[in-house]
Amino acid sequence: MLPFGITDSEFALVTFVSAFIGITLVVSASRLVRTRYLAAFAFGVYLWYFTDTLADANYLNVNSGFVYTEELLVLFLLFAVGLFLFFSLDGKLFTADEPLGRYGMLVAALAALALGLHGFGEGADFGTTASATPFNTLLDAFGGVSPSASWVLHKMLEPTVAAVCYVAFADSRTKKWADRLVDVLALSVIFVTPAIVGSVVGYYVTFDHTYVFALGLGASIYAVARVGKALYKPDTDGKKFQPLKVAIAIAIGFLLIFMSALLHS
Amino acid sequence: MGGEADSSPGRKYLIIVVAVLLAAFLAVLAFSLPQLNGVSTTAATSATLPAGCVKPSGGFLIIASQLGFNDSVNHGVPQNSWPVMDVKEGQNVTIVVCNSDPAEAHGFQIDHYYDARLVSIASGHVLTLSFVASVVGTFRVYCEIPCAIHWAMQSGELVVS
Repeated sequence: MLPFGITDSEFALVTFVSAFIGITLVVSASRLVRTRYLAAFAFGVYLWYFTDTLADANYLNVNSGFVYTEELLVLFLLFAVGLFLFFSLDGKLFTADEPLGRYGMLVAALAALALGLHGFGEGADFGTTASATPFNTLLDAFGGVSPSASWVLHKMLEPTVAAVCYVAFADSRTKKWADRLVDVLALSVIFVTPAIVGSVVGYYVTFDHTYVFALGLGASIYAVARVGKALYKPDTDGKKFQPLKVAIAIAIGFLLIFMSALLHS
Repeated sequence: MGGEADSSPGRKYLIIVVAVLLAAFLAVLAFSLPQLNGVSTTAATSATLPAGCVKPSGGFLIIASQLGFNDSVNHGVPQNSWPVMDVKEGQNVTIVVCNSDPAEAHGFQIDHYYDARLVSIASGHVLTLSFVASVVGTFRVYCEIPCAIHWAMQSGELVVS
């Protein structure tokens, strides 16, 4: 068993710093790269994110087939709750209005929460393992440097989807750097809070984390719906839509998170 | 943040978000019948075995838990192979895999013999598989889905001689 205080502090710090770096990188890159390509990159990241979270949700118990089980019903209902809840919160998701200003920041915050929700399950996984492991160090308990590096990279890449929402809808380019920093810090906190809370809960309480992943899976679809809107946002500078560049950006996003997943095994 | 004409975020929606998420989490906790760990080193791993989790006659029993496959973390994985199942060519092999981990689903695959599709075993569930060991060799036994203890579930072996 790993001691709770230090272990959880390390986990919280590593997770927060990783998310902060990921979001900062995207916000900084937005000064050089057009939002459309950042959105395509985020779309690529999300494709893997969805697959990964679906696996964590035990594929919503699809292996049980067309046989009614309580698990299947609850998993699907939680998936639906996550989906409907976040879609219902953004009244401008399917309108032509631009959600600029304060509304835009709330869109980014909502995306960060939608994406971060599955982190409650991951944090709970961490807490449960930390409370059960026979090892004395965090690295040993989680399989050494490689799986730990995988966690860091995932937590850098996943919130980039929310960062793109911030870039696309919160008018980030016109803000002062100090305001942007506050926004990035806020998004990082929103994204990592479920994981940190989950790690505390998972350390003390044993429950099936699969259900949390189902909820987070449904919720996360809101973020990619917003990214889709950024991807197809009409250009105002008259430049042509370049599908090949979009495809390359999607591939880069997907491959980066895929490669970081390779480190997990 | 909900109405189409309302461009400012409504406090009521934030309250709704928090309330619904809280309710969902409570539902999750209630549904899965949580057991307080009591900060015990064994609480998360000593859950009772699922119904049907019995070693088959002449076969093998694999228990997936927070300690890996058959406590593999205590057997030097990934440097060492664990668990190792030795069989003879032509033998009818039966393996019962139990997921006694109350927190996560786990996968189970055997190269060549049982890797045609992804298999995930939900918490508290049991998988039984049978096949004829028709090909001689050493085949890796592993989990195929992501989990916190994934690294310790990559080093099993089926040895067909």
